[in-house]
Amino acid sequence: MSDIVELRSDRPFRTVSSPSAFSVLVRLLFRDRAAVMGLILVILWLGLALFGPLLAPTDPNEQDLSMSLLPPAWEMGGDASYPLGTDHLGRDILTRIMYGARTSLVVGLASVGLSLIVGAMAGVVAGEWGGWVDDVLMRLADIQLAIPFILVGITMLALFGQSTLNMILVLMLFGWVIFARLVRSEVLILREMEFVQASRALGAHRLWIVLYHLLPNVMGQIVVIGTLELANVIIFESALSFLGLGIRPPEVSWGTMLADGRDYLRVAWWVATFPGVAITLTIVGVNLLGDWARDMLDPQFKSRLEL
Amino acid sequence: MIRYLLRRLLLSVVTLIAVIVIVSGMLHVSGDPVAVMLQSGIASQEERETLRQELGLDRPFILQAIDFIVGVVQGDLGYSLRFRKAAAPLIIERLPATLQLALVAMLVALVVAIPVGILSAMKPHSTVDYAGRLLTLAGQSIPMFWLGIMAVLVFSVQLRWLPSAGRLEPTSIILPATTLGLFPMARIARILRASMLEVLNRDYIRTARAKGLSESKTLIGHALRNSAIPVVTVTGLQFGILLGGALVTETIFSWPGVGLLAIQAVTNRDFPLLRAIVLVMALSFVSINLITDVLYAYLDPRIRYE
Repeated sequence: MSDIVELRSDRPFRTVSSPSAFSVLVRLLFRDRAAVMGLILVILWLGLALFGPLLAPTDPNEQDLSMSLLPPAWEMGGDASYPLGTDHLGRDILTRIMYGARTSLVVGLASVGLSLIVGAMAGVVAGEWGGWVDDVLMRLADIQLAIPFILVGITMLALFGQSTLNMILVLMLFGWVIFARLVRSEVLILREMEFVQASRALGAHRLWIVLYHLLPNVMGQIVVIGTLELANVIIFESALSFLGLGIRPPEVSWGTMLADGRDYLRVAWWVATFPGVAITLTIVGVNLLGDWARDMLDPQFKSRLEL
Repeated sequence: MIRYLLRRLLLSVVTLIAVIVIVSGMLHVSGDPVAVMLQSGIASQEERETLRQELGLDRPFILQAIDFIVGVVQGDLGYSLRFRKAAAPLIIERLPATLQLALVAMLVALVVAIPVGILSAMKPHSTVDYAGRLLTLAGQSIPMFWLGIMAVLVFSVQLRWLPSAGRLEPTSIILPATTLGLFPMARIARILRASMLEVLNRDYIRTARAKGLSESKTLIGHALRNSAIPVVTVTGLQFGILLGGALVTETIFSWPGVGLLAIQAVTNRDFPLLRAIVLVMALSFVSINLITDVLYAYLDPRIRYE
């Protein structure tokens, strides 16, 4: 087919129909470079979250009103001991970003982990057992998708109180659906496959089939979706905190820092800017890694082309 | 087709009823809204009882939920504790602002996403393609609430070009709509590119080219038309997501829509109003999905005979 297209060489379609070896190479290189970039950003985030608070010179909640709204060190009037400046209460922004990284890490991992477990269990049950359980679970998933999540989030946090634990539970409620749907659809395919049928014919217990045949075969996809989900969850956490319904002091969240900074936008640009940079870089990193993992898992060339 | 429609409609109604029951249930477990509302202790015991009876809160939960559903069918969405008025008119008053914001945001998204999607599919690995890819990554990764704040910082505070809040001037909508539109823009551009790439590989495109059809006719008449189906679906889904995003955008830009009302309801602990808002949002969301499904079935006849 590429011959036909190539006859009309003034047309730009050659690479679509059959990519040359060179363009594949370039593409893979680009992808890998993106993945490396993602890895660096994620390591930076993990480093900030794990070691930042140990290295930070000050307490994230230490206030010093005489030092309020100091600009970053490189600006006029900046102070070298506050590299990224201070907020309206004179708290060091860099220190708070490090503690914020820790919050996003804890909340992100915990809620994605929980939604993964709950979602995978629901998906296996729905797919393997089927029947009314399947109907009920999938209807529940539909219902949940029928309301904008952020509205559900603020409603629940307002009703049940704001705390880190409640935040994690709310985010789990948001996250389980995608895992459940993924696992269910995979299980429906897998259970018809020969190796599973063979195992069944040999009299294997259902639980054995689930644990030794079904789950290991969806694990790769679960991890990929989990990575991409992590990015979503971090954004949701900061969005809810930004709206004033998430993490409460003395815990530090990037979202609350942003909300604080918004009130001082006209006099101190740095207060709202840096936490946002932190969120964005983290999300970019996680997304790049997730995209790369998805491509690696998918042996079909097509999906690489699509991205 | 009619059977398909009826089934989808029925499912939507079931979903909405379930939403009402779940939200009312949450409201019920969380405690007495009147007590929360009148925490300050200004109201006497009798006044509280009167209000509770007025609102039907002294009746069993199931009856309350049924009452509410019956009310909803008649257009009564409950009573706002804070504004001391029926919730429905309060929401209807704010609805145009939110719809306007969502529509303009979607327009902004489509105006950018469609050319970017087509061009990047036509020339993979060109500059346009990489720019599109960057846009996708940015749209996926930059939190809307930060983007909005930065837009205010640059265009309102520094450059003084555009108003930062409110809905008084015609230019007021530019910043919120662009902020809200970035995410769907990235999604739609990505899906359109993927779907165009796939279609461009099909036999009928080869046939069209082989018979000497002009490139623009091949692209618009054959490729674009067939790539449109996933784009319609995604646009519909994104529209629903926009409604949720409006909550955040409206807060940043003090846009007087339903989202801002929801945040006010939360701050005032006005839960009956919040329940009404959740319901209206769910209703819009479900209707948009329904319309998308119908459009989808119309565009792709295979769906209808499933």
